[in-house]
Order: sequence, then C-alpha cells, then structure tokens
Amino acid sequence: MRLIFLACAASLLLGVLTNSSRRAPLPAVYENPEARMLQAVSSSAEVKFREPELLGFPAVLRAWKDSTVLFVDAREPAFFEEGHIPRAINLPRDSILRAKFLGELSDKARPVIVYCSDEDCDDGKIVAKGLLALGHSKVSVFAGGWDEWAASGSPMEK
Amino acid sequence: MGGLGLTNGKMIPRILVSLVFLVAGLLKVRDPLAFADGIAGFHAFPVWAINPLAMCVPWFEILTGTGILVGRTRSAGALAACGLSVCFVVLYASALARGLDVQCACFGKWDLLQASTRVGLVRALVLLGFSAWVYWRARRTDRTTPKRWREAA
Repeated sequence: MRLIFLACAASLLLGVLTNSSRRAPLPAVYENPEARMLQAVSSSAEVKFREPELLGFPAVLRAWKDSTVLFVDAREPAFFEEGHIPRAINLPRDSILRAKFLGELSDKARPVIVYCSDEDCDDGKIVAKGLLALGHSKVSVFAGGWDEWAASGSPMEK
Repeated sequence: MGGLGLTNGKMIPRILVSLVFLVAGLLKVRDPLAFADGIAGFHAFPVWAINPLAMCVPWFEILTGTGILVGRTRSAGALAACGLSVCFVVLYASALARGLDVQCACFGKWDLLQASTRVGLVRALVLLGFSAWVYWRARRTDRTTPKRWREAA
C-alpha cells in the first residue's frame, strides 16, 4: 500500500510538472469543447452566437449535387481519412481557428454544411456555431452525419 | 528478461496488463485534453476534478504498468491495476445504467475503436480479470518464494 501511495504522490507531481511545461497547459478547471471554441473565436471581438439550421438527409443530398455547397467534416482526422463525403474538407472542433486560413472558406457567403459522426455527436453543431461566429452567413448541420450518409450507400471518398 | 521475471508463458497476462496501462498512459500524457473530454463525458465528476484527473491519472497508469513489470513491485502494481480497473468498471456500469453513450477515453483520441459504453464495460471487465489474475499470481509467488529470490527476480 505504501508503494501505491507513493505512486499517487509521484503521479500528482509528474502531472503538475508536465502540464506546466506544455505550450498550451490545461487550465485548473475544465472547459467543455463548446466553451473552448467560443473562447477561441470570440477572443478578439464580441461575437453573437447563432444556432445553425439542422438538415435531413434528402436536403443534404440535394445540396451535395450542387457543387457550390462546401461540406465540412468535423470529425478527427483519423476518421476523416477512413472515409468522408466527397469534396468535404476536414475541420475538427479544436482546429476551428484554421477556418480563417482555409481557401475553401474564404468566401463567407458560400453555403456550408457541417457534419460529424452521427446524431449524438455535438462537434458538427459546435463547428457550425464557430463558423457562424467567424462571419459565415449560410451554415447548416447535417444532423444524421457520416453514419447516415454511409448507410444510404451514397458516394464516399478516402 | 530474467531480471524482470518474464521468462515463461505464464507471464503473458502480466506483460499484457502492463503494456495496456503503459500505452494508455503514454497516449493520454500526449493528449490530456482528449482525456479530459472523455472523463467529462461520464458526467460522474465535479468540473473542478476533471482537469486534475486528466493530468495525474495517465502518470498513475504509467507507474502502474511499470510496477507490474518490475519484480519487486509487481504485487503493488497489480493491486493498483485492479483498483484502476474497478474504477473503470464502476464508471462504465454507471454510464450504462444512466443511458449515456460514452466515447471511450481509454487511449485518448487515438482510440480508433471508439468503443460504445457496452464495449467499454466489457473491456474494463476483461482488464479487471487479467489484473486480478496477475495480482493473485504475484501474491502466491510472494508467499512461496524466499525473499532473497524475489528480490533477485
């Protein structure tokens, strides 16, 4: 038991030391992904956050056939690489500020549809809210996400 | 290998449990934010406890994995592994009872299995079984092996 208590103390010390030496240390109190994203996009100006519109599969398929609509995949890169909606770009929630530098997102009037894995996944809504906050005017969320797209047998890209 | 006491097939569970904790700990140390999100998904801890846990638990896992491998500390390491596994089982069982769909934070965001709550519970139970076996073996060896030999192992 003495060894286990020692290991607890050592873990505490190592945890604090490694965290303080990180370029972006964890804050003392946890912030959820949405709060982190809101903090990131609103750091320079006061931003009003709007709720994105939710789209069902038929509307998303129609939009996909219209090549002017940009699809944004909010999943982690490993999942994006395993398969995604053709022509979609990858923008995970913790990389939301990358949106400012992506050529595909330079036109803020271009319609954007964001999706993640399924209906229970909040990342699509989080990224969509971030894009709206960054000034994009037509941002929607594909509620069923990748699971519904793949289950429908629609085209996919790797 | 003899110095670590890893010379026969009976040691395979010990090596496996050790590797699971070492790999899981190292991946979480690399990406504590993903682990913090995973912990938060269980809705079982107060907000102030989540980040401290995300900072310290991975190191405890690494020390546990190392402890299991090293002859002189294998009992303590295996006991810590049992303790951690019991915590994982309780967390997953409680999430399942509350109908939560928890993404497994076991291996940070690199956990490509993206285990469902049910799969996570099964995985935790298997880990608990192996950890208990390793602890039972270590205790039995401690009782039947002279101290001088144990220290040499």
